[in-house]
Amino acid sequence: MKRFWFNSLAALMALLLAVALYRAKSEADAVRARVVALEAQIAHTRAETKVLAAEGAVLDSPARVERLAKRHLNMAPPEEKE
Amino acid sequence: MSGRAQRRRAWLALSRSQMLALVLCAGLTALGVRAFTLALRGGAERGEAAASVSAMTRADIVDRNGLVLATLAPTYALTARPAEIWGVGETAGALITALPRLQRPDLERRLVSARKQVYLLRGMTPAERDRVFSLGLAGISFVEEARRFYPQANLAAHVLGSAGVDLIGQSGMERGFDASLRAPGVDKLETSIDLRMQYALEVELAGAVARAGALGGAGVLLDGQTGEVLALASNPSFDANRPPGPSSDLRKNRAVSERYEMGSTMKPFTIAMALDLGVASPDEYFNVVPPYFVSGVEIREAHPLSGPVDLRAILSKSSNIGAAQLALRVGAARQHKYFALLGLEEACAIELPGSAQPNLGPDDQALTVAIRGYGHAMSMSLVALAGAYTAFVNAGEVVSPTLRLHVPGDGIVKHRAFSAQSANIVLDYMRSTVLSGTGQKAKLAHIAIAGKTGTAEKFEAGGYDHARMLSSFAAIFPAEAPRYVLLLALDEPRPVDGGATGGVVAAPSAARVVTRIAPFLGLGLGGSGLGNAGESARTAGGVEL
Repeated sequence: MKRFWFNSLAALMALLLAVALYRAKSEADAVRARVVALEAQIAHTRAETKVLAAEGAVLDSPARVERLAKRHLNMAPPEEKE
Repeated sequence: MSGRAQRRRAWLALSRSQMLALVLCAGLTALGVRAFTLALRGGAERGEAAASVSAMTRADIVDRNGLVLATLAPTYALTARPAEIWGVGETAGALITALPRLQRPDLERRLVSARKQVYLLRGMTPAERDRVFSLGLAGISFVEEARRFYPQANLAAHVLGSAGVDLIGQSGMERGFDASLRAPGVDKLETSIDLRMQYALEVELAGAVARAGALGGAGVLLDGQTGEVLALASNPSFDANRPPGPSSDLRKNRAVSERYEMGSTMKPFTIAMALDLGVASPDEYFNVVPPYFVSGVEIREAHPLSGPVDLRAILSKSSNIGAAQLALRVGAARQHKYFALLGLEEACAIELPGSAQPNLGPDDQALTVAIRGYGHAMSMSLVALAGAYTAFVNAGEVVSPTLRLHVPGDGIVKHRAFSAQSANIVLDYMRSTVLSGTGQKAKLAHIAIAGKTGTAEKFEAGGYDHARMLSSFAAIFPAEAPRYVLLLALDEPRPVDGGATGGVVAAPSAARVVTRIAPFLGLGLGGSGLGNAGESARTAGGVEL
């Protein structure tokens, strides 16, 4: 009888530990999934930032600025003669 | 039925149920083990998958003001699994609607390939990917790739060079700085280039080449105090996003990889050597009236002078005979010593691959020494010569050209080639060259330029070709507080306004470059340039556009 109770207690503890481990693992998995998603979002945002910076560089191109300055502001590069 | 048969049937029934239980138990155990394994390892597998994204990295290249010159753009490759394509004709038609640059015959050939997966197009933009994605075609998928993108296209193409699809530098700064660009944690490489000045130099160089009908040209703009290359141009140029083949003439960097006999732009060094050694003095007069022979060979004069002249006239009127006499006084050994100090005996140490090795001539006979005095019988790259001219910016000290941005507080390696007195005297003569000599077309009203013209006939097998020249102009400005070196050269210009000399075709273009970049440098407006080399090298003074 004593052995039965001991075995039952051990089985119960094992069951509880298994449930606890499963829960901890599930929560860690959920957190890891969120981290992965956030990292992917960061990578995506960084890629978008790079594209925007490249587009900005195209817009800042001296040739384009000069073209627009000529067309809209009637400006021209400086000239100097003795 | 006998009792024995009944017992046998009962045993068989029991045995079947036990076997079924055993099988079920084994199945459940297997499922349990798999569930346990998944519970413990599932997240790690997802992590590994996520970590494989964007494994290829390469730092951006930016100019001294932070403008992007080269970056890594996310692109996509369009792929197909031919076995999963439902209708080849319909799929091809839909893809061409979304991506008109696809060629139908080639596309259909790939879509019926026996291979498991085929590439249909590389280098798609995110917008193009979205257009194809919205078609919802079976068997079509995308692979994320990174590709080098040069937002300025043709601008600074030779300096930037290129990187391959594996993102390893192949030419230009991409190769010169490859290790730094691939270093972990580095997101950008700041260079000494100023995009605004690069543009001004390239535009004026292209204009000069077009006006003179030249084969091409090159230009170098240095901050002479720090050695920083503010602009470096080679014409003709190309779109860095679509570089020509490795053997194409367009890829030739005429400022770095080619060497030229520079002609009279070498004369300032000959005079500085003579002054430095005390074998000539500013008060001395020289007979430069033709004819003049060295080892039986006549030294020809492009600008014959009458009567005795001093050193100032030898430089400002560009006398070959005068320069030859001075070179002979200097002698071969000391000439080599000065060339070494000026960095002209070795390839320029700029961070670009293929920097040209100089050629210092066939021998050290008297004729060769005399001819080297006015820039023939020796050849070098333009960038090496520009580096040598920093001697006149730094009162006799030379600094090597570099594409690295100078960080305030960092030391600048300089070494002395001439005494300050010798260098400053020659600088004054160079100012006279612009005011009253061969470089008058570089004269500006508000910015004092000191300079020297050069017109070098090209050497062919059998002698010098009088019809093919390299015409150049070296400028130092502002002359009253020297800071910048500009060297501009045209390869085989045709006569314009009565000549094809450096003074006619190169000097005016150099002046135009100076005029255009002056606002960025704060010159001619009471400013003092890029700031003190030791304090603030990055902040541009004057007018910000």
